[in-house]
Amino acid sequence: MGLSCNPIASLSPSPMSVEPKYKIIQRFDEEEDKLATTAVARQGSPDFEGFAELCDAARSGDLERVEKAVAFGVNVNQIDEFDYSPLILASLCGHYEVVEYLLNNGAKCDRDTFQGERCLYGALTDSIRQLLLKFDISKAVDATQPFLAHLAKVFSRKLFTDVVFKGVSDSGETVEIKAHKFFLAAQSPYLTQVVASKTKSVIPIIANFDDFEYCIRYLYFVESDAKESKISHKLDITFDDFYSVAVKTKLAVYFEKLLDQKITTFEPEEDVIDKLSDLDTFPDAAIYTRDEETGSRTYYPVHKMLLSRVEYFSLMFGTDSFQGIDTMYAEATSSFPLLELDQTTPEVAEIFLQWLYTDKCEIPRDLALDVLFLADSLFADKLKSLAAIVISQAETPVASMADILRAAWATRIERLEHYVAQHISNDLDEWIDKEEFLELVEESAGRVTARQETDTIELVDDVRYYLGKKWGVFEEDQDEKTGRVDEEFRISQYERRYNEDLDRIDDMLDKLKLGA
Amino acid sequence: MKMTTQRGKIKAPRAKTSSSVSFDKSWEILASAMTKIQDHESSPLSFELLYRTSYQLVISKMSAQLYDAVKCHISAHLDKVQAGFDPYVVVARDDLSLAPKFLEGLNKQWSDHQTCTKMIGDVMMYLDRVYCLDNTSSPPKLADLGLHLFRDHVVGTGPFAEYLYKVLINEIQREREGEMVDRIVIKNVLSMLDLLPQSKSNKESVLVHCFSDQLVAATTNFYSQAARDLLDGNKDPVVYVTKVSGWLEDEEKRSKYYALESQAYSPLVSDLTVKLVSTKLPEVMALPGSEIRKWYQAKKFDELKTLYRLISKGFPQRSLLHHLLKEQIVSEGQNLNSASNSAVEAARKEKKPSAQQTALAHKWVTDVLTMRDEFAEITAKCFDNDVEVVKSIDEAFVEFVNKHARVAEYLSLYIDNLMKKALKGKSDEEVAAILDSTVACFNFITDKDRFENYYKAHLGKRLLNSKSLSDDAERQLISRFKMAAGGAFTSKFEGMFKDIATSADEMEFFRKSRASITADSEPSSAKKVELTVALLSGTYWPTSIAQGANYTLIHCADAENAKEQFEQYYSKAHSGRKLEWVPNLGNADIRIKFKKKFHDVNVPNPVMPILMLFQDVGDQSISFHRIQMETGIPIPDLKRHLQSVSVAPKTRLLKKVPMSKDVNETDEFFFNENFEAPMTKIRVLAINATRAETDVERDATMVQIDKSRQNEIDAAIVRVMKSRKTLNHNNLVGEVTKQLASRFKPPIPTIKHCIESLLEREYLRRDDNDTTLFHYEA
Repeated sequence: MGLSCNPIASLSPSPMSVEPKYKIIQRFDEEEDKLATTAVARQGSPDFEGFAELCDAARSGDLERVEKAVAFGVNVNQIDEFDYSPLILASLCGHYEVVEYLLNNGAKCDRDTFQGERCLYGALTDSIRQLLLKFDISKAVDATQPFLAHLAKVFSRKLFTDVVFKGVSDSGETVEIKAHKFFLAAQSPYLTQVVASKTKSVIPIIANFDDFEYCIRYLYFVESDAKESKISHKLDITFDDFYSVAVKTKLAVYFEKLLDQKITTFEPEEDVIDKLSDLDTFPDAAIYTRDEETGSRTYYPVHKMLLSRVEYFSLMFGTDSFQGIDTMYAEATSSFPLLELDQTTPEVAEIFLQWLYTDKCEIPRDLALDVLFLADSLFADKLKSLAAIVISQAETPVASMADILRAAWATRIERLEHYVAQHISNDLDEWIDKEEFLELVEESAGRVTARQETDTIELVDDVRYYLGKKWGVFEEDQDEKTGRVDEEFRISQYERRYNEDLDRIDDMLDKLKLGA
Repeated sequence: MKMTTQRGKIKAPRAKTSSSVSFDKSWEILASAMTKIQDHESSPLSFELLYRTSYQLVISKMSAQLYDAVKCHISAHLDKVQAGFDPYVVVARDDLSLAPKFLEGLNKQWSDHQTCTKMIGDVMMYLDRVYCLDNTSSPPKLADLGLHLFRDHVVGTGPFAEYLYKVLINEIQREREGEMVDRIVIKNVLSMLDLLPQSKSNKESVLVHCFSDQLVAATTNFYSQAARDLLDGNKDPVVYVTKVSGWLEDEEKRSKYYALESQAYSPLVSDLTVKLVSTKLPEVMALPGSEIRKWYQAKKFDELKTLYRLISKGFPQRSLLHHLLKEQIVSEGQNLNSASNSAVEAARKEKKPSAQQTALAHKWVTDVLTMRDEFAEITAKCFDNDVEVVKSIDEAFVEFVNKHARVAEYLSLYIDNLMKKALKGKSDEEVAAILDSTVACFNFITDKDRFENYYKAHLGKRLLNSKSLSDDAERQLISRFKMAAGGAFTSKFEGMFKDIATSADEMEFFRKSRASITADSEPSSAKKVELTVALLSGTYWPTSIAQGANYTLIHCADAENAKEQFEQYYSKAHSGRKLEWVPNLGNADIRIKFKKKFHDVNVPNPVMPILMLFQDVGDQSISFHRIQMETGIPIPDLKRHLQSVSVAPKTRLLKKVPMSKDVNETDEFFFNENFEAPMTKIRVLAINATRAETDVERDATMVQIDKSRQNEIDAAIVRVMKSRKTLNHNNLVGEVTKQLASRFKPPIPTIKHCIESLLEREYLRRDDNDTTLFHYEA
């Protein structure tokens, strides 16, 4: 590549006299920090490292690392000290898939912005240019951001609202807005005051109702245009591209408060409900986990409005059901349902909740498998792939290969199957004689119902593939039938090793009386 | 994140649960829940519990078992549901009066089933996602399973299905006959059939696969019978058209309501259209009472619109309408033609053909134009101004108009009449409308050269005698002709106008020059004759005008003097031009003193010298022969002129001996001193006013036209060959026909004849090898 890549590793402050753009954004972030303790894209912070990682991955075209960074909530629309955004880097270096992935995950490329123009100008290939042009649209709600889309959806469908604002619009009509107290309280101190009363659910708004309504709609990402007013200042709304970050950041702060209100107790459910429903965070449900040894429960106050992000809960509350069919379960009819996360520890539950409220989370490697199972059982797909990424990227395996492989099968994550196969092929000497390996091969074979002699065994195929990678054997050199490199020609020692490994696998299969 | 001590070791979280799950226990929970759902007792159910129970079964690899159990459970329930319909299907199978209740019940069961399936699908979501994959080899998703089971266990293919289809057809038929039925229930049941797939592999719905054909057949049968009844009764095409269109509209609306256009109903409507319109309508429109013009005259505009809609539906490109219009217009036109011809015959028998001819021509053209206007209104009001239909109508007009032998002459006569009389007192808009329709009629004529001939003659006479009411109207008409047939066609007409204009200018100059000459040289005693000359270029004007002008009229001395002066002036002003006088055109104003008083008499040009002979003769008579000698007028012309001044009662300026109606060569003439008239100004009419041709004249015109046509064909052939150099016979004939199409339709034998003559004259050469090939010889 003839392009000079800027060394992202040098993190020393830039000596430029004019304040560079990234600093302005940093300053913006710091101002936000007055409200939030979590830092966004600041040098030395975990997020900044995440962003550096994202830029590096975008430059080298490593889709997997890009996915990981984005999945962990790195803001894709930041820029580095040279004003490069990940999208510009990927487009400049010609990585079509990475560009596509970034665009699909909210990276912006609007022609009327400096970044967007630069991105188009620097596109290495025509196909990338076309791709960028296709995405050159500013959307009201960024559909590529499911979290924001969810907010807009619950607001416009008036789901799980607990407060009504009434007022008279400029055109003289009586209008009302339904919203969620906790969400508004999280967004600004002013609104916290407005909704402060726990009992009052109807709040009259006297002046500037139209402005007020617009601000609320903006908060929920239903509106996108800047429309400043006295109220927007009071509400602490800024009209810019980083607004979505601000909303999430504020939610993250609120979530910390919510987490502090958890209760671990043996008390009967009624008492718990009494206690929880009285909290100043306005919860309308609780999630709990049960300690299998002591039988104590840990309750977390939560909000249905965000729970319904997950398909499991939206089914439970019937929010996705089509009209005319009444699917009211006990949980949906209860005014304050207590919902169990089965066979889950508080640590895992908290990771789930963090993701639910802030759209990002950190998963410690030793909890990754638990998170994976929980996410799978609740259909929290994004969380599931986050967990899978943690497992496949861990430097030392998070569990035994057998456990990981079985988890991969149970939760249907191919990426993890490949991960295990690669692992085994790298240490084939050790694995080939292990009883565990033979069991896994047999299990893999058994996954195909009514298996025929000639059917393949996925695990074995994957291992063969990674052996080829390991020994650097070109696919063209492999015999179509046997997979081996033809020994009649002069072959390298690596290729010979490769053939030997295949022989050993065949021996093993013979032992198991499996043909594949 | 801090670790508690007991979680220090990593455990495989869910794998261990698999052994502890008992299928029977779990299934018991789920089965009882499903029963509750089916019995509408879902509210106390815990989603959490049910979901978790099914989740654990799946995770413990018991998906297949669970799936089968669900399937059995639903099937058993649906079997019971079907049994519940036995009172209708089995017991009262032929009593369709219970049908509404049956459909209502079925609809209820169906919507319950949908709800249940949805709820079961919700709590078994994990099974659905993991076990039912999106490929053909995996079992269907639970929602689809619900449909399959309902199809197999309720609708089926046996007596239940038979009864259901019968009931549906019967209910729809009742609705058709105007009875009250529960349309919503019918609609729901139909959409149920539409949702049920025929089989797992065949995604076509049960509705399309099993029911649609029956419905279509039943409906078509009903309407076919109704149509037959209609035609057996009164055979009024108007009634048929209105009814059938109503039926079709009803069925379309019905199919829209049931939202089945794409599925079961569209074959229905199109089938009906074929049966009732495409095959029946031609037959119906052949019955008496189907004349479109009569419908129009009876102001049946809505019916005509309906007819148009029906034909549009049932015939590609509305072929039937084109056919009908052509046939009807041509036959009506033929009627007009034969009426006109028989009137001509009648007039001929009464021996006064020419005077009435004009009236006949006027009537015929008016009739044609009326008919044309009527059809134009019909197309505009009822046929959507369909361009193709307009074209068809025009073609029909062309066909019959040209069958009339005298079309060109009649149209020209009609226009002559318009210009002289009929346009009087009409507003500009009215005039424009009349001219438009006239041009439309002109467009129908194929032999435009023939028309040109007549028109030239008539126009010439109007111009020379200043008979036109409005020059503007004349010019407007010519510009319309120009648009319709091109500049070449109207160039001569325009030339005629130009001649008249230049004549006026010339006369202005002539008068000035003559005034100066008179002042200089002439003695003032000489009587001065005013002279106004119309200068006509020979090429523009019809040769017929100069016919019979091959004699020299001898004027009195004063007039001859004026004539000479003009000749002198003209040869001086335009050297190299030859003047030829046309004696029998033009007028003269003479003042005559009678016993009672003076009269200003306007006479045709040749009459002037005749009267001048009587200027100083007193009571003496002048013989016919002497008049002939002194004026130089040929005998037949002279007879005519004398008749106008000595026989016509109002203008008897001369007395004739003996008194008789006819003028004979032996007659003697006297000046009629006692002539009396109420007005001071008198006009002596020439006895050759515009009128239709006699047969002899017409034959002469035809011969003349044929001759000019030959010239035109010759010219066309040479033009074509000059540009192509080499061409075979067929192509040459084609090209020539195309070139002349705007003038006339050249008969092929004539073209051949012309080619032959051109070969002889060596304009063309036949190819040595290929006899059909011609070369142009420069």
